Amino acid sequence: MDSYISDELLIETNHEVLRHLENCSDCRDELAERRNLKLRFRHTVKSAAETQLNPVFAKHVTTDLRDIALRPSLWETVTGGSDVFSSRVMAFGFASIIILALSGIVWLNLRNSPSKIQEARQTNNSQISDRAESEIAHAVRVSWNDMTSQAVGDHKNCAVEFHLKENPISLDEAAVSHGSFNKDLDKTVVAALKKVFTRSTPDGVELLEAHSCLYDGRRFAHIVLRHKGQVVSLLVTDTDLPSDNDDIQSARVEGVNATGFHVGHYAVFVVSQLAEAENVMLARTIAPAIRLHAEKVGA
Amino acid sequence: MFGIGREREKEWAAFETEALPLMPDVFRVAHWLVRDRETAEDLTQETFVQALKSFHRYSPDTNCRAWLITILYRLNGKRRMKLGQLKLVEDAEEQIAQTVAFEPPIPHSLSDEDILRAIKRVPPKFAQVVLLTDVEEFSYKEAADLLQVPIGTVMSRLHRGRRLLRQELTDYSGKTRIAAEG
Repeated sequence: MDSYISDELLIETNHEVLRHLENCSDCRDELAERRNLKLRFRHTVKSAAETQLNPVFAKHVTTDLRDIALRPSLWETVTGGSDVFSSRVMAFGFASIIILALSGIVWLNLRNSPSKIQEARQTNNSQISDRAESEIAHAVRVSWNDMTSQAVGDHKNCAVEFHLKENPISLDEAAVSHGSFNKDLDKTVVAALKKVFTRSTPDGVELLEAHSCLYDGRRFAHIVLRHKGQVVSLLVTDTDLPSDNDDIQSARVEGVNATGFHVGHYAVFVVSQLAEAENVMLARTIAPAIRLHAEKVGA
Repeated sequence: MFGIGREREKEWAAFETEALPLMPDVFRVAHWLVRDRETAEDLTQETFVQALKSFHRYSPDTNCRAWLITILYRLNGKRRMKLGQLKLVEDAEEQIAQTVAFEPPIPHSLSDEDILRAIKRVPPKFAQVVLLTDVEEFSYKEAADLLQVPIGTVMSRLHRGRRLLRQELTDYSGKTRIAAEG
C-alpha cells in the first residue's frame, strides 16, 4: 500500500491493486485515510513558518553568490583557490596567452609575406563561421533537449497520470485544426509495429489510446501503447529546428528514456521506462512508416 | 579578458534561472535535516556556493533540485563527520518497528502544530525518508541516492516512518483529548 500511495508500483501491479480496491471497502477507506494524511502532512510541512526561508537571508546569499560569480579576486584566479570559475578562467587565460603568442608569430610571418594576408583573412572568416555554426549547433541541441523534456512531461502527465490542464482532442479533430499529419497517424504506427510485434506474443504491442494533447504550450499527437508491461508514448510535434540527418537520439530524462528523431518539420519521440535499446528498437521500427505517412499527407 | 566576463555572466544567468529559485526548497530540506534555523541557513549557503562552483558540471536537462539536495546531503555528511556525529547509533530499527505493531487510526481533528510536533518525535532516520518522499516528492530511487542506502531500505523506512508518524499523531491526540476531558 505504501508503494501504491507513492506511485511507485509497476503499472500491472497498480491495476491489480485497483481491482482489489473495487471490491474491498476496508482497503479503500484505509487508502483514503493514508492519502489524506500524506497530503495534509505535505501541505503542513511545506507551509510551516519555521521552514520558510527568511527573505533577508535569501537576498544576502544571492548578493554574495553574484559577487563570487562575477567578481573573483585576481589572487584567487591566479592561485586557483576557491574562485568559482577559477579552473575555467585559468584555462581561458592560458589559452589567451597561447593565442596571443601564435598571433605574434602569424603577424611576423605575414609582415614578411604580404601575399599571405588574403589567406589569413579567409582563415579568420572561416574560424568566425565555425564559431557561429558551433553556437547554432549548441542552440539547436538546447532546443531539442527542451522539446525532449516536454515530450517526457507529456508522457508522464498524460499517459501515466492524467494531469493535463486541457482535455485532449481526437486525431481526426487535430487533423482539421492542427495539420493533416495527425490523420490516421495511429493506424500508421500500429500497422508498422504489428509487422514486427504481435499482440499474442509476450513482446506484443497494444494500442491503448490515440489523441492530440497540449503540454507546456506544445501540441503533440500522442499515441499510447503498451509494450512489455510498460506504457509507451509515441509523441509527434511540430518543430522549426533544422535537421540535417536521420539520426535517432536517446536521452534519459527524469527517470525515463526518450528516443527522438526528425521527420521533415516534425520531431518524433518514443518515451517509456523501457530500456534504451528497446526504445530505440521501437523508434527504428516506426521511423520508415512515419516518413511515408509524412510524404503521403504532404507534411 | 572580455570573453571571460561574458562566460561568467552566462553561467551566472543560468545559475540564477535554474538554481536560485530552489533556495526555499533547499532550506526546507536543510531545516528538517538539522532542525535548527541557523545551521540550516549555513548549510543552504554552503550548498549554493558549492553548487555555483560546480555548476559547469550540472547538465541542464537533469533535475536541478535533486542535484542541489544531493550537494546539501553531502555537505551535511561532512559537517556531521567534523562534529563526530557519524557514529552509527544502532537505534534498533526492529525494536522501533515492534513498538508499533498495529496501524493506529488517524485522528480526525489534527492541527498543523500536532502534525509538526509528531514528525519531530519520529526518529530522524525514518522522518527523513517520509519527508523526502511524501513532502519533497522524491522517488524511491532518488531518496535512496540521496541517503546512500538501497531502495529496499527506503521502502522499509518509509513504511515504518509513516506508521510511527501515525502512532505519534494518535498518541498526541489521545493525550490532548484526555487533558481536555480531565
